[in-house]
Amino acid sequence: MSLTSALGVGQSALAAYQAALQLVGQNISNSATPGYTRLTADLSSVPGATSRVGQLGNGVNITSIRRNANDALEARLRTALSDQQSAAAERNGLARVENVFDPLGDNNLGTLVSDFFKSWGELQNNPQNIATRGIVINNGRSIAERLQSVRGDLAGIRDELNSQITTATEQADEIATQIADLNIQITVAESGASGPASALRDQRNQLLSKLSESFGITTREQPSGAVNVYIGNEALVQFGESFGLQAVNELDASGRLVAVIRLKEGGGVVKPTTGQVEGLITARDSHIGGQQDRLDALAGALIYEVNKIHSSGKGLQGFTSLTGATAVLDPSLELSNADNGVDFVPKTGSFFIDVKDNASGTVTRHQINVDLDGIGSDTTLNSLIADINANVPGVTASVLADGRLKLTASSSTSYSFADDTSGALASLGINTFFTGTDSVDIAVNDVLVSSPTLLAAAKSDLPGDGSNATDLVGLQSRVVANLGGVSLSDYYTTSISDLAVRASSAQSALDSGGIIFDSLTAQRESISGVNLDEEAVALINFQRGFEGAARYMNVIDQMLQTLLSLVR
Amino acid sequence: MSATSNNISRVSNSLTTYATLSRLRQNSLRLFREQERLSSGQQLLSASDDPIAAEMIGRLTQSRAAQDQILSNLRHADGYLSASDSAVTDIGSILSDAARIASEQSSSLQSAEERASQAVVLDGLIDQLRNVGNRQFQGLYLFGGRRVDQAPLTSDLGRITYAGDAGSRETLVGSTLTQAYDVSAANVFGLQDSLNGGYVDFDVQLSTSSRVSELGGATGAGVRLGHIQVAQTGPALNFEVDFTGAETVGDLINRFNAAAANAGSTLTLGINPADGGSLQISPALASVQITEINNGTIASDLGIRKTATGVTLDGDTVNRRVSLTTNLSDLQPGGVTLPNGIVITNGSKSATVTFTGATTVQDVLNRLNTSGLGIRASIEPNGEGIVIENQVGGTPLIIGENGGTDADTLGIKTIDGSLSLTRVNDGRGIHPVTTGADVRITNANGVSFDVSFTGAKTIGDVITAINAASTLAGAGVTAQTSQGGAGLHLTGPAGAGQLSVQAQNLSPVAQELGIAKTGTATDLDGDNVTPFYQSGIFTALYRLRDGLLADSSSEITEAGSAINAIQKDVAGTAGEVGARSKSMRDRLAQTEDAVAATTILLSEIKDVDYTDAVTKFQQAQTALQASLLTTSRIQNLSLLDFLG
Repeated sequence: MSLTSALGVGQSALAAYQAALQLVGQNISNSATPGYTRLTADLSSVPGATSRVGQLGNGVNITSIRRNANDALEARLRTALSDQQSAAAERNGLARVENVFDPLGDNNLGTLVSDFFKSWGELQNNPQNIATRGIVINNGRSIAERLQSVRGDLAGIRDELNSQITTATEQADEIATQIADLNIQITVAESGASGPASALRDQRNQLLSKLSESFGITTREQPSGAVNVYIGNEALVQFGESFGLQAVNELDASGRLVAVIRLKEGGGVVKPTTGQVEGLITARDSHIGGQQDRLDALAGALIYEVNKIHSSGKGLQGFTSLTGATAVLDPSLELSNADNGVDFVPKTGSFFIDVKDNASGTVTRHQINVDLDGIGSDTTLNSLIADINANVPGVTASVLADGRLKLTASSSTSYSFADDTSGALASLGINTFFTGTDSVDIAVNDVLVSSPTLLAAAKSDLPGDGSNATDLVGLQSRVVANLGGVSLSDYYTTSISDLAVRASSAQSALDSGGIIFDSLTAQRESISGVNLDEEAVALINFQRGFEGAARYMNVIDQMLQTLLSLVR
Repeated sequence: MSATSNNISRVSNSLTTYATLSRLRQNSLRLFREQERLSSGQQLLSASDDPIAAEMIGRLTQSRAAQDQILSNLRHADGYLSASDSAVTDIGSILSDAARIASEQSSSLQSAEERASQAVVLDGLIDQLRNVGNRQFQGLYLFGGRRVDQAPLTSDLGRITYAGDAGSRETLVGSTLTQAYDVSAANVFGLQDSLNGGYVDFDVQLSTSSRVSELGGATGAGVRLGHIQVAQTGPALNFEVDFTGAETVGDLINRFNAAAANAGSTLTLGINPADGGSLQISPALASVQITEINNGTIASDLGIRKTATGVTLDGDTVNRRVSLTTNLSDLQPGGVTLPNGIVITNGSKSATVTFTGATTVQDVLNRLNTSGLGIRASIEPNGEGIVIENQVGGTPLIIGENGGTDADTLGIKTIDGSLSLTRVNDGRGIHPVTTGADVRITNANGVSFDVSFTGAKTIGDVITAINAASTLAGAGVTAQTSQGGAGLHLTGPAGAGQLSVQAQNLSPVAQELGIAKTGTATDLDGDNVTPFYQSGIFTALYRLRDGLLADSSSEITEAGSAINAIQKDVAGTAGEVGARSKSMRDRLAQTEDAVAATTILLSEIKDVDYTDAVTKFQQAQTALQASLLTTSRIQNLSLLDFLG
């Protein structure tokens, strides 16, 4: 080996250690950079020419700069992040629903329902008491207002979730565009180069992680270094092209406005399987939508069941004129016809109209049959009106232009109702406690609000009769067919229980997702993270190597000087 | 960050930072939650903390609300019964005073003036009784039934008249158990111990609009809707009929006929024209058999569970009950017409009630109830007839015909063949002699015959005995109930003499039956011996008062006996009210215990266990402190610190 070549050996060492020190510096500089992948210089000796005693070597060089990354682990981490974000979004949505219902609070919907039936219980003891009647009506209004409020709050949460879905989708769309751009940059940077474009890959990994927060993604790296990104079966990014994401407001099967995720190109529906957006969609459709449905079912059953009993009862005074709260679309259609717009469908049965002669105080009872068995002619609003007009002297029935039934007493009479086995009165909104059909429009009948004496606590004309109120008290624990064979109280409790179980499950999923994510993060950091102590050791190591190489160069230089002095 | 240490081989600085932040977050959160539990006093901060416990809290809260309501009901009922108890005690005390007067004044040694002065005292007692009867509880009349807004005892008709309601006030004393908690004046004062009328069990005709619920059913158990199987031969067919959901007889008929037509059968169900009260399946086929399906009972209830061979299948009567809406045209086969009206006399007041324009039973009841004579007409609880209550104390009520047979048709005529003889003679009955005849009846032609009433139980037996003896003697005398009164009426052939009745063998029966008199040649109107008196306190007191004013020792004695008997009844009522009150208080105590148990259970689940919470808070605090300490130590260690 010549001295010149010996200088070359030293030079290679200086260059290699300088580069290695630079890498250490890079690692130290990025020790706190999120997503940074630790770089390691792979040093190897340079083989020299073969002498008669063997190979002496030509120094050292950096064969590669190694990214300490595990792509499979990164993919698992992204999946874990998606799952965690999905669970978090679901849990957050459910927590908000839980707050709306406030099941452990002192003034929740369940308490209001109990208070409502309790006030009917008081009324059964004091049916003649106007103040007690006022309490019943106020408690009914409290329930109606709370149901509407809860419904409104749930709708508000839905709107916010839709908004979050839209925002997350817009962010994801932007990220996808950036990933596509980075794909191009990485491909260009790595083409012809011996190593990876680490910084660019780190950036891309960071973006993939951010994207996987919103959407569960799968990636497939191409030989060029580009990654294709998929959401479910839909390709979002292919090489340098993003197909784009957008949230489009559409109506679902229940007529509710929902933000639907579609590809910008092609318009295909994207159905995320995990990630924040999937959690938001699940919270919106399954949890909140489910609770809205249950709330509507509860409100509907409360309205109809209370009304069925109430409409068969009597107040402290009769009616002189009464207009039904429910309109039919076509008075000539059977009352049970689905096209008639009657939400609470009556059945075959009958009811009584008791007409009171105001002068003598005598009451005359008239039976009105409701035939809805599908055999022969079934009862329509028109036929019902004709029946009343033909058989109930002192009362005139008519249908208003909007399809509502109106009953008017003659000047010397008043009327009341009894024993409706058909549910027709409740269906048509006659002598009802509530109006409306669900939690959106439930309200206490204005007729009662303005005249509490019309509250039907009795089954007779006697002021001390609270028997109808007794029936209403019993409704709280009575099985209701429309609620799947459970009582109003049980249905509410089951709904709350269902909500609590869902929220608890979401919290458990979040907790376990967090553990998995933490574990994978630890693994990733264990592999890719920077340890300053390690870097300090490497720093010393490379520094000493550099110093040694410099000393070696100095020695060679002195040897050359010695040789050159011989020449002089 | 708890599952990180097992699967890693090196620790980076960012990992240390990540783990430190994670632990800090967890410990802070834990500390916060314990702090929340301690400050709120709640074991659960949200339902999702423990869904099972949350559900139990929900159910227990509902249970306690329901129990609270029942507690409130029981307190209300207890207060009502306690007030009633006190009132009944006062009634007993007043009755004792009345009984003492009767006892003192029954002696023949008392002067008329003394008795008259005691009658004034008695008026005061009656007034006191009325005041007790009109006593209020929380502004509600105690003894008015469900008519709580007006005094139940009035004197509008000259004597104490009950204007309250016969029904009772009920409240929930269990989740599904209702219990009456009032004591009506009718019970306390014995105002409706007996009823007048109900002498006709109406054979109500079916109509297609009849509610199924009005049918007593062929077996008396009502009609329980279900399915039947029809098997016919000639031609052979089988089909099923679903009666569930049927409301009226018309619905039953429609369903049968639709099912038959659907199966290709010519059979139809209808109302049997022969009796109007049963169903009939026609036409006659080789055979028709009706059977139940799935252990149902409807075929039996409708009286058609049978086989007809070669004839129509005629069902048994389904016993439609009388209701307010029953048309008079359906009340009996061929309908009921009431063209003449009736005459009602209650004490000194009388009125003719007509039924012109009445079409339903309720119309008839309304006419009777608005007669202004202190009567209340209603349908018998078994739905078979009409009964009348006399609501005025101490006045005789007589319901008779107004030249027709309307009262008889309605079964409310005061005297009726089925009336027990115990009602006769102011409730003393008749006392036939054991040997020989009781009366001798002589017609206008001088033809006489003797009649013995031994063994007679009813007015009808008396009439039968007279008519049989007359027939045997060829006297042509006919006995019947009087048209407008409350006694017997005899008719005989015209002749020179007069129709007369004389007692025989010192028998008091002629006197007791009110026929010991001489009439015209053809008619003899007996006295009103079966007027309908309201039984009870006021009638007895008025009788005593009238006896005192009439200076009649026997009346005073009998009134005294009646009062003594009523005293026992009132004592019984007081005992019953007391027992009900005690039962209510027992139930109250049980419910209070149940509420306490529910509250304790609820508290155990809902309220925080402070010992547990404080301990956990302390643990969380220690963990946070340890975490902070270790973090500060670890973060301060670095090799870089040692490099020159």
